[in-house]
Amino acid sequence: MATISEQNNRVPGGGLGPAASMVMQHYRQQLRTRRVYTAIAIVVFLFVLGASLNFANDANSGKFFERLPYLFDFIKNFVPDSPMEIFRAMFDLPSPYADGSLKYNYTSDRVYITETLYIPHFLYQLVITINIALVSTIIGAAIAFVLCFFASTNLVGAGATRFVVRRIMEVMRAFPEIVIAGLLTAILSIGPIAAIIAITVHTIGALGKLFFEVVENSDMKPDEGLRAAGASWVERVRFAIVPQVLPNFVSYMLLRAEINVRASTIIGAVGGGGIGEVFRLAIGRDHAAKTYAIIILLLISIVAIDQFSAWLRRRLIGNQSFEFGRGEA
Amino acid sequence: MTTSVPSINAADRERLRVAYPEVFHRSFLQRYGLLIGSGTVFLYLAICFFAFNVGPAFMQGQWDRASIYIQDWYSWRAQPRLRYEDDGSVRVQWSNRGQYAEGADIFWLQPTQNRGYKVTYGSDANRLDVTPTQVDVYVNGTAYPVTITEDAATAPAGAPSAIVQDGNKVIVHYGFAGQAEIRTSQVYVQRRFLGWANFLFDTRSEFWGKGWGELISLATVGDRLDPARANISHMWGDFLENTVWQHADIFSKLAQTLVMAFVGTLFGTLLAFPFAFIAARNITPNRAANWLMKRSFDFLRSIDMLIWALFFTRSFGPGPIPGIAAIFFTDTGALGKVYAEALENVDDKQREGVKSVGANPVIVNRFGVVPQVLPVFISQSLYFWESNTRSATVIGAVGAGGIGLKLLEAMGTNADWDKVAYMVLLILMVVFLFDAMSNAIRSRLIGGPSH
Amino acid sequence: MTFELRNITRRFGDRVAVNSVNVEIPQGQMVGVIGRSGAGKSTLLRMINRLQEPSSGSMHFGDIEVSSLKGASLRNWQRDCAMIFQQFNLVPRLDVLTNVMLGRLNHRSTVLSLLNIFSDDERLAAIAALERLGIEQTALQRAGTLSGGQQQRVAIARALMQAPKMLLADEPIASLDPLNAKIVMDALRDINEREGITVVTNLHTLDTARSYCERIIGMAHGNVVFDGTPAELTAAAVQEIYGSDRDGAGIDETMTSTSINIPAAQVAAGTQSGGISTLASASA
Repeated sequence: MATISEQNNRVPGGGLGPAASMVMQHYRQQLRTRRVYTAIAIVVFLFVLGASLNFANDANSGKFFERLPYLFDFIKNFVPDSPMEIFRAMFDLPSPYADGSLKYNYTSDRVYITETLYIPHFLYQLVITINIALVSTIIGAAIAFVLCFFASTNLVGAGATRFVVRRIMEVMRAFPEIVIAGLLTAILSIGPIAAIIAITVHTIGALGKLFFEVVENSDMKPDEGLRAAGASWVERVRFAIVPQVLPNFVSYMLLRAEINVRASTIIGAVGGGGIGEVFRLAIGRDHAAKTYAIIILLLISIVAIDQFSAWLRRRLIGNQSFEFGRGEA
Repeated sequence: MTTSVPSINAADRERLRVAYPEVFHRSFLQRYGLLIGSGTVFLYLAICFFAFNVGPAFMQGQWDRASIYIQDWYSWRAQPRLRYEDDGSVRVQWSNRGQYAEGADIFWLQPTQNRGYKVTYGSDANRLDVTPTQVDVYVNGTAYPVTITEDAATAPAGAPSAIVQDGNKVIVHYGFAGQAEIRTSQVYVQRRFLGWANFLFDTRSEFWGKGWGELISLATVGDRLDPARANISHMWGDFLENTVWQHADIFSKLAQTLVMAFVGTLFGTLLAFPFAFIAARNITPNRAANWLMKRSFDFLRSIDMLIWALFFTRSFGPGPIPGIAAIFFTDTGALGKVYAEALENVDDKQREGVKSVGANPVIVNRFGVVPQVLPVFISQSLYFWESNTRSATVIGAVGAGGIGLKLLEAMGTNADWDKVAYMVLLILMVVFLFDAMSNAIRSRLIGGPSH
Repeated sequence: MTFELRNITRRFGDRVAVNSVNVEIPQGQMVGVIGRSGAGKSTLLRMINRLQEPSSGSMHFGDIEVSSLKGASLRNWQRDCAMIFQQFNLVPRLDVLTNVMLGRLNHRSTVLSLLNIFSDDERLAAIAALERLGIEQTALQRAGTLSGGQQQRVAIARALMQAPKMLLADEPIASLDPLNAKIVMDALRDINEREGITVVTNLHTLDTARSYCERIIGMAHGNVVFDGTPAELTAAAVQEIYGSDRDGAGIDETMTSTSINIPAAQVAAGTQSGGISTLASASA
């Protein structure tokens, strides 16, 4: 009994056989090296972080701590005259505060369908933004769908085709959207087309990569079966690969549609039109009621689109977390 | 071999049709579903095509400009104006872009004996001999004299299609090599060369106009041009201070963008990490806290990054801080949601194992949960970091500053497309580098390519 | 038309999987290929269908040199030489009827195929083939939801739709229980006898080969070590094919057996195969 309790109190590792103590020694050594590496990593990391923060503060036109009080002032002062004003701004109803200035002029931007029936300006812009996103998602997904099969090792081998298609996709994915939008704006003048093409290009790259990864993970047995039946390459892709990958493709496409709604808002703010531009103008001119009206509209539409696409995706491929795709944006 | 279907006799056909009606009479949706679906999509695209005025926009597009802009990406134009002086000589006036130093010897622009200038486009067969009264235009070796009076420059009859009379001026096209506008008071020359002009040093630098070999020998073994400092640091300084290309400014703006993405994602991760434990139902058994946390994540996530960016730009002024704040706020929401989902999917056996040795709740989470989810968390954060590097560019353009704003400014002038190309190249390089880095970290963490 | 292999060899790196095989198979024969796993049986069959390329040697079908075909004529050969697999290789997400009709791909216009438009005649042929194999009731289910035995019969139906001259079966019953194995083997024999289609099948069980095949080819280490009728397959020949275990004793034939000795199962199998013969209505 004495020996057992003695052993229990002892930290395991003392009084071991030669082999075990060797292992223990190695383990301790490993632990030491790991700790040293961890310490170095942490120090380097903290240094980079500190330098980054310092740099960011220096580079900013207003310093963080100087400007922090103004943030709260800005929030305090940035309130509409009455909560109803937000509602009026949203639906283009005349304001009782109207003084001829742009700030309270909600009605002049109405989009009339008939003599009396109109679409409120912000809603109209929101519809444009969402349509930009939808059109680019559809076209981008269609092109990515065609391209992805030529980027999959299991369908075209590891040759030149795959290399070229993959590089094209990578460049399309990484190419700054605003440059495409800016170049097209210079050629086609301001309008939604520049935004559509810019987002489409990015969509092709991003979806293409996700698509070919799905294709590469697909089961090749059906393909072999059809090959043995004398089916051509296109027929094998159509019947052996597409049925397997389609649910995942659609799911990724829906996720992309969500991201593209946000992207088209931002591109809009840079000059692509739509709700983004209207928002930039409203907040830049201190039009509180209009700003809040747009924020509420955007919030509602984004939540609605997210929920709808999440529901659709669940129906398509079951309860699988697909947020991985978000990071691929 | 025949292409016919294995034949079946008439009686059997009838019997099969009757026996398996569902095979032969498929529902309306089965038959036409694909057709209707694709028809709807095409109809939608067609409506958008007209609603967005795609046709007219393309028709009215300034495609001649497009080709110039695109050529500007990989080539540069020298644009001297050859002014006619009253004393019968020709004076060269340069635009402010200043690709040549004062008094430099330019091989394609040489003074002639009669105080005029000779402008060559590639070879002597394609050139202009400019004098105040007459410009001899050589196209493929043949001379076409353009006469200049007070009122108009006039091309000779029978000039080839490269020489165009446009009102009172004459325009000569030499393809990629450039063009010239012969006007009543001057010849406006555009001469195009491949590459980026003065990319390394501007004309004020002592290193300007030197070849690669000369530069390398100067940098390594050559005598000091400035006794106070080594040639190599002199070069680096001149490179950064290049007034045309603004390397220092572009690097600093790029760094701002990278800092936005890095700090924003990092802070988002740090905040989302503890909050996700509160949001996860299996970790925190308090329904109200779970609900509140998850709705906060949704709120942060659903307010667009643009809104956060403009909001903080309004309060902090342009710069990386609003960018960081915008990314931080959206990503706290997005990462929090992803983390909470990962936590709710953890394997409970490991927690029970740690619990069974009598550990307190914090320790249970530290050893029973964190080891499981940490690789997923880090991998997700890396994905967000990658994607935010791209988003930060756009956010910057909206007003947060950084390379995005710089790009927007360069594009706004419509004359700096070479600089745009340079910045795009830098961004692509950085994005690919980060892609590779985060892929390497991820595969070390998870083992093998994830996804 | 005779199918002929001349000096067919296949190497994987240094390893010789199939070593200079010479075999001649007249039209309409039912041939079983036996041997230990890794003896090169699968590689041989896959080379006949040209899923794998021979390293050297040639294959001939009548006047056609099969081993040098390319492009469309290669796909025509693959159509004429249907193949079924151990893992069935169906498209799990498509319904059974479509899977069967995919056997027609090589016979029809690619555009129509891509749009998934099939004619009524093809539907009739497909349902007739399914009926012949006794699985017509599954026609509109997804192939992935069927049991292994049913999936293998769908694969045979697909092979029938190809209107082949030759049917290759790569371990068709290795993943099946004895009852389903019997149904599948009966179907293969039925096709062989009724349509006169040559059947070449890999088998890992000796007694199946004995009872179904008129000719048995034994392979060991890539070489053909036996080629003859089941009657000629003596214990010595078996030992040469399968080698001997460590004690030097010969292999016990019952060890590789999957024969069905349960009376109930035999009755069930009897009705099933009876079903096949009475319902068979599609004749090429």
